[in-house]
Amino acid sequence: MSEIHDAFEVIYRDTFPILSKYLLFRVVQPADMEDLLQNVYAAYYKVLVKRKPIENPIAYLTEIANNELKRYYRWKSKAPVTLIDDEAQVWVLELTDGEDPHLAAIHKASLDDLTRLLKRMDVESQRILIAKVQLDMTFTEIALVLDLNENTVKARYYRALLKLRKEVEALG
Amino acid sequence: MDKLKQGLRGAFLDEDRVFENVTRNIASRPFPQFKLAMAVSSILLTVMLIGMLLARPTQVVAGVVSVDLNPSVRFELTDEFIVLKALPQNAQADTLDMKSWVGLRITDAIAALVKQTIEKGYIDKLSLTQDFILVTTVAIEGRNTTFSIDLKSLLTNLQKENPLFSGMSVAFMEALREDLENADAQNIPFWIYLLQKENPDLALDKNATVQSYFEDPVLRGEFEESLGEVEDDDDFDDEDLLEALDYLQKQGVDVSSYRDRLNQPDASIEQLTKEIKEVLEKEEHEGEEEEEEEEEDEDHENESEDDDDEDDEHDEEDD
Repeated sequence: MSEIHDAFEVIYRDTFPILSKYLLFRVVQPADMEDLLQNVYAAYYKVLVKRKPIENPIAYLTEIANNELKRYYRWKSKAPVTLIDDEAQVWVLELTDGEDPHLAAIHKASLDDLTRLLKRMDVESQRILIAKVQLDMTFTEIALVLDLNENTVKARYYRALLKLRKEVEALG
Repeated sequence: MDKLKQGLRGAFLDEDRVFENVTRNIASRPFPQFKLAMAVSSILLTVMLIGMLLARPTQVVAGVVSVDLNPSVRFELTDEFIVLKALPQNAQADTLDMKSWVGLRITDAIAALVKQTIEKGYIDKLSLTQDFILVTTVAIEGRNTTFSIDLKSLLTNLQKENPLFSGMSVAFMEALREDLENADAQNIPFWIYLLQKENPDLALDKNATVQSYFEDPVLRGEFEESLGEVEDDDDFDDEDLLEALDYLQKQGVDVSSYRDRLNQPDASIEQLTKEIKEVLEKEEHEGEEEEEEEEEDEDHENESEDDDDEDDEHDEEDD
């Protein structure tokens, strides 16, 4: 059993970021991601316990994730929110990838406050922040996944940070 | 950036948290092999239980014994005379605790019945006074043909061996299953139904007791003529006589002469028994008369009270 557990952990750590990125843009809201990931990996673990050979873990996990998404959308009537490329993004052209004018102010908040404020943010901002900050995706990657202009993504990201900064400052 | 990352992890997605949840849930589930073993064991256990139930011989009622000594109880027995059911047949029997009799051999169950009957005061515990037990056996057709004969022999021995039965007379009858069914259908006590079947002129009401029936020498004679002898327990000894003398002394009878005679080495137990029985009967008769007189007095008192009430009412009306 320990052998299976170790094998699972290796695959889990390797595939978690990839699978998270895959699901992030397919769920209605980022808060649903964790449950979906948990179901996907639990199903995969059961397969490992049965000692069924799996040639390509990431392909297998994606297949399970797709099945989970189908089930998920049977319960959720809404389709995932998509960003619309309709904004003027002149100002973001001046910013380089990774530059962040608001982070210092945001970091003044306590972790609890920050967590609470992030949960209260709109879904689009949450998604962009998770992709960029937590999953270390570049604007180009996000833009490709969402089939959007890179500057639109960048604009959304900085707008989300600004919003968060204002919220933090409002806390005093 | 790190703090924001931590905040996002706490709010939405924590790799370690998901990992822990997955592994914990899986680890807490029983292993498939264990589940399989449990399922196989359950099936085997069920099969074994069903097999045991099917293989176990069903306890069929081989015969019925009706014991009437007022209370009246009906026993359903296996062919090995083990009690399957004990059913009360009259109000006195309703007061007995019969649950413990199930599973006993019929002799033990009847002994328990007699013991409870004495304890509850339904029959006299004095050995010298005559009490009657009427035992009726019914063999269920197609089963043990010697059921009634064997049972009668068993109960005759019980009467001889068990001191509880000293001073008791036991009468036996045999009957058919259809007699039992007819008696039940007509709501007549089983023993009365059988005696009236034997003698249609016999006038007995539903509330008649076995004692009153056998105490009548004519009826007892008729019974013995057509159905068989009533087995009396005549085997009285010194202890039975002393018991009877104690009882009479409590009732205010001077028994000193009987005690003196009983202490003589050449005392005739038979003669003393006869004489003491006569005194007991006389005492019993006097007791009954006294009771009747008391009842009459009570009636008179009630009547005179009623008269007084009526007088009072008249007085009030006059006023």
